[in-house]
Amino acid sequence: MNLIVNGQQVTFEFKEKETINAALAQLDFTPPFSVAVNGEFVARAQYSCVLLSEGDAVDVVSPIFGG
Amino acid sequence: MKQIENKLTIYDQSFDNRLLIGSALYPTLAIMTEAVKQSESQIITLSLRRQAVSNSNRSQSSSNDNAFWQHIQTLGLTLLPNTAGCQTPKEVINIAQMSREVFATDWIKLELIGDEFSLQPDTIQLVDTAKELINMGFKVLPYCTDDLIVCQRLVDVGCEVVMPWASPIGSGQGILNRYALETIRQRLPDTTLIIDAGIGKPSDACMAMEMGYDGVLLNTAIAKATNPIAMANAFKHSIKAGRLGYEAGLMPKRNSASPSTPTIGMPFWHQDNYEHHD
Repeated sequence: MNLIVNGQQVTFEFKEKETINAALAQLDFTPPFSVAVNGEFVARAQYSCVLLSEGDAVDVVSPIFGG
Repeated sequence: MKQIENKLTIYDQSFDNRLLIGSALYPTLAIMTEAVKQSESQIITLSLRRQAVSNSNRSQSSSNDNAFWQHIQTLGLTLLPNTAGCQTPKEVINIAQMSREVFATDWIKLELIGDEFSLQPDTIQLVDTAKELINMGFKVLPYCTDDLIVCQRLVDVGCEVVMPWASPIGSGQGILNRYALETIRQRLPDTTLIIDAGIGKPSDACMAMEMGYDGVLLNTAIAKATNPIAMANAFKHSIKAGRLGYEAGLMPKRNSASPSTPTIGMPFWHQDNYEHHD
């Protein structure tokens, strides 16, 4: 399955729909972070049940400096 | 007349220091840390951005070491996450929720940009967006223009803090419309008002405090100074001086001169006139 992760296409090993947790397990993001799918915030508690589909846009954001 | 408080009140919290400091644009992380310490600020703004992508299918090493976050945590400050760069209410709502999860705070500095060039806030959609955030349980600190009605409407929907700009973000132009800011202060005497954006030099911040503003939020003026650590110290003192001046009560302006030294007992006083009369 292909997902758009932070604006980049990433190919995952799984073929069918999978959870956010499954996708995150194949990525090296450093906590703390938060996730949005197709522009909608997904709470951490939902990572194990929200299913991702081919072409979904996943944003993973972390703390950075700001004014 | 607003009761003069010794502390800055933001929702249910009180702070001794009235400078809210930004964490961006410093030459190095170490300089940022020292500048923040020097400022004695108790509140720091920060944001959220995408992490670099790396996975087992890619050869690049991860750059997600999060050094910034580790530094911030050691400072022990109250965090004020922003929604910088958001141009739609939907973006704001989603970033706000992500911020609440990451930073474990209900505080959100609401930035809804209406024009990329001037970074002027979209005041048409700002009030409804603030209302939606408040309904979701956020404590909203909205960045807005110096438009009195916009500020009033933000208060009407539940914002206990309103943050009008002095001038555009990062411009360093200082207070461009003193009349508008003074009017907002007069008309919203019970609202915590913080000048956010446009401050260029310590005297700008001092002027804002003398006008009775409750605090100043700034970033670029310190971070882009030749010596950010020394400038943080300068702003700390200017904000304290301005507040002390406000609390002391400024003298009213007069259009004519008035001598401060007594005229009674002045030798030679009008001697020429006496000679003339004789």
